[in-house]
Amino acid sequence: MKKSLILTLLLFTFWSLNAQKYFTKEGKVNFDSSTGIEKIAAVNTKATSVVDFASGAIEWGVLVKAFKFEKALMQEHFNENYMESNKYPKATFKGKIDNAASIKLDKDGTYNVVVKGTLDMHGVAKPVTANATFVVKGGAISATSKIKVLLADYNVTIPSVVKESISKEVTISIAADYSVFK
Amino acid sequence: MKKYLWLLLVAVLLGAAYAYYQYNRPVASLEDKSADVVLSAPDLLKAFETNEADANKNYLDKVIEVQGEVVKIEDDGTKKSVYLKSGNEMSSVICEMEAGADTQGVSAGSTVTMKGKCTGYLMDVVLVQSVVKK
Repeated sequence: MKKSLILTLLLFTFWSLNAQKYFTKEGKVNFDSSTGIEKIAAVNTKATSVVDFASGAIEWGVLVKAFKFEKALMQEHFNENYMESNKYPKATFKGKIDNAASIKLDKDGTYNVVVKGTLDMHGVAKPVTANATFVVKGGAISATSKIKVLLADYNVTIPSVVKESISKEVTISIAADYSVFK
Repeated sequence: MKKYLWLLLVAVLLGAAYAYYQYNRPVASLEDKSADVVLSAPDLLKAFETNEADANKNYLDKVIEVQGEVVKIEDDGTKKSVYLKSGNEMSSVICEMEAGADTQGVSAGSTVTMKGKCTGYLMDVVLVQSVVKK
């Protein structure tokens, strides 16, 4: 009797631990380096992200070539000249939610948290801190965040002819609707 | 002399028109493009799982024609995505399509041939600008 109770308890904790892991393969990453002169923006709707609310660990990954621009020429320059996506096909973020315990998965609400981690793109890994918002609504979990990144930090050089039309600072916005990781 | 000036003007205008066309050129559709590589969804995933660097070299930016069984179709209003079975529970070959793309004959369980541009491998192999091959 005792044994089975322990077993059930164990199973139960295991199950609830397991239920703390969420993921998506349809995460959205928007990228904007527009200036007053020119609109330069792209969207990627195939980002992968995994969050473990028990430990606070969070990961994001995107394929650089899956960013879509309005203009083909911008997309080509982005891949060939700036991001060199043949050499560096992926960009990843690995980090930790500072106060993950404050997010109550069984309680509807909006939770503002701080995520600290490493952004790895164009072959350069740099620490990044971001404010993120998690929304829990009826068991569904979504997240949004926005960070600003200096192109120079990631060894992305802009030729002087187009210096005026590309912003040195790029805004990256992310959005994800998470599902339970099975 | 005046004639040359006119010719020069025409040349400049043509050049400007071409530059304007290039500048505004949208991302080309793959509808009429022939595939660089033809293979099955499980084979494509396997190539990336066994040696990602080699697979990147062989498949990145290539137009790939891939056959597979449809797991599901996702439609979020801005994009459609067809997930193809790959022999691995966690991974798929995902073909991303434009919102207005024709998905006639594509439903869960059916076997289809898709054509798309390979962008690489995260948990899945992702093809963009995909179209259903008729």
